[in-house]
Amino acid sequence: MKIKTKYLDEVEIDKEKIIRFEKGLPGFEDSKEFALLEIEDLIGFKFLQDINNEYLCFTLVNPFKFLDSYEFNIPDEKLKRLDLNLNDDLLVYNIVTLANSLEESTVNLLAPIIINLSNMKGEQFILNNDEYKTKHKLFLKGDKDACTK
Amino acid sequence: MLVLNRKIGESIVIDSDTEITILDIKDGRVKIGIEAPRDKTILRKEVYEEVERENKDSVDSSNPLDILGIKINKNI
Repeated sequence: MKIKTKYLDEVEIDKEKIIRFEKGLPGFEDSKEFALLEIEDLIGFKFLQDINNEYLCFTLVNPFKFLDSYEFNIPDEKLKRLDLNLNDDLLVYNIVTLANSLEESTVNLLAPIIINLSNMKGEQFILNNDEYKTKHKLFLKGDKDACTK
Repeated sequence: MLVLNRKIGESIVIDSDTEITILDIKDGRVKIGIEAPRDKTILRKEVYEEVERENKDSVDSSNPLDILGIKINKNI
């Protein structure tokens, strides 16, 4: 199906690839259907586009590409909300708040987005963790080249 | 909002699976104990609001294509 997007005009997506956020996201509780979009041939970043609202689009980053370590614990009972089974594939992404440059941009490590690829369910979990904040610097100077071809 | 008065040691029950107990009151701070199903998300309100705010800020932030240095190849 075709969807209108905020940054990529009209995009063709596979209906089976629509990700269902049963609870929406904090601040956007009514937005429940999203598509994960590639950004040209950029590695490590994706768009999370609301398929029903072209103006709602989050920029996501794969934290494991840019951080030395990112570890957290989510209780099993909470992961059950994504119907998670032992062999399911999970994606972890964090929302980026872009500033005037990549060096000034920040990433929300306190609230990762977890997507269960086996059933296309997603949720933004808020961690019970003092170490991570909503605004972490995304890059040290010079590292941004790691993501572009 | 439902408003109830509780003394230290007294509780409130929500449905049959959640109980909120006032454990202590001192210097204007209330210590609250919460027993709820473990799949429930329980947060200090300001933490939830901070994530809400950050989500909203991120949607309104700079154009990612500009900041990431991306030129979109448009197929005509």
